[in-house]
Amino acid sequence: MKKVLSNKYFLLGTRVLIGLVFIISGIIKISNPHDFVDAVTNFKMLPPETVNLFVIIIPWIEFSSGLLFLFNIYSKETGTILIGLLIMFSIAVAVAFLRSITFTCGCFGDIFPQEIGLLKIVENLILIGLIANILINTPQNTLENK
Amino acid sequence: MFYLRILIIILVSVAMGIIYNLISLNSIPFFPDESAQLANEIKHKAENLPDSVRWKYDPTALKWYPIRADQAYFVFDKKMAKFIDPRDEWDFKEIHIKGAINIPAYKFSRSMADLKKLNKDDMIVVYCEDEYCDNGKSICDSLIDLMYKNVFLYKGGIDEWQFAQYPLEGTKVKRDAE
Repeated sequence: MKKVLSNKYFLLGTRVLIGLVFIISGIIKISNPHDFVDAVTNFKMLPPETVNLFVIIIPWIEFSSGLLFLFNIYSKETGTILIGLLIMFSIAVAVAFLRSITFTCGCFGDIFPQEIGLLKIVENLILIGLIANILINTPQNTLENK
Repeated sequence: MFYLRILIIILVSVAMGIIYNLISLNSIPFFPDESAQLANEIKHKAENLPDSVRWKYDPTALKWYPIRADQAYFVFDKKMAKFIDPRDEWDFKEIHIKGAINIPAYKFSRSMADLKKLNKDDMIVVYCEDEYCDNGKSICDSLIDLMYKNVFLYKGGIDEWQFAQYPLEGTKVKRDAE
């Protein structure tokens, strides 16, 4: 198992997967902020006055961190940001799930609607595990060591 | 250095988000206005209605939402919404909600001059005679087809509004006042 997890092709594959997940998720939200406003509002976790700022900023953090992570640039830092985002999203989903609120999470806009639920939390936990594995097993990129 | 880099990445992302929102055609206000907040609140409540009272629900499409008398009056009082009356001109002249726009259902077409007074993001409240009047629903459907985003149907209509003694206009109102 350890061999598989530290295999360079496995690491490359998961890095590409995670990078693309965040880039695509960010682009979808950036291109349709109105849908993301509806999704964030449905969670009922943020004061209404702050929802729009959240919607304007968070997708860009997802996008830029995903892009840098994909190309292994400052991946320790971007990986940490991505884990932070995933923890934040998981808490939001868990709270909505416990409140028995049912709606699509808006994680990928309306293009890939995903229901709030345990499956979404499990997905996020798997992503967190994969990012942590990459951070542990990959040396930092040359760019930041120069 | 680690935390500084994280901070820089986040700050650059924030700056990109703000700049993009300023230049984008699809931008949103940095702070939502009261009308947008209320529209979202009503939509959320309507989506959680049981099936028996949910009039139209299609999770993949734009949809209109039912609105109660107190909510309709709230948005009227705060001047948040535009009210549309789909009854014929005669009924409209006789009595209508103060400031309402008359768009008779039988005349409705996408090129109507009155429609040009409405923006796609405006909060629009459609009302009719009473809950049995179908013209309100058909105008709501037509507005949704034309991609209006915040369409609400005030089911109680002019009858309930009149009963609640909310502000009205029209020849009948003038006659009664005299």
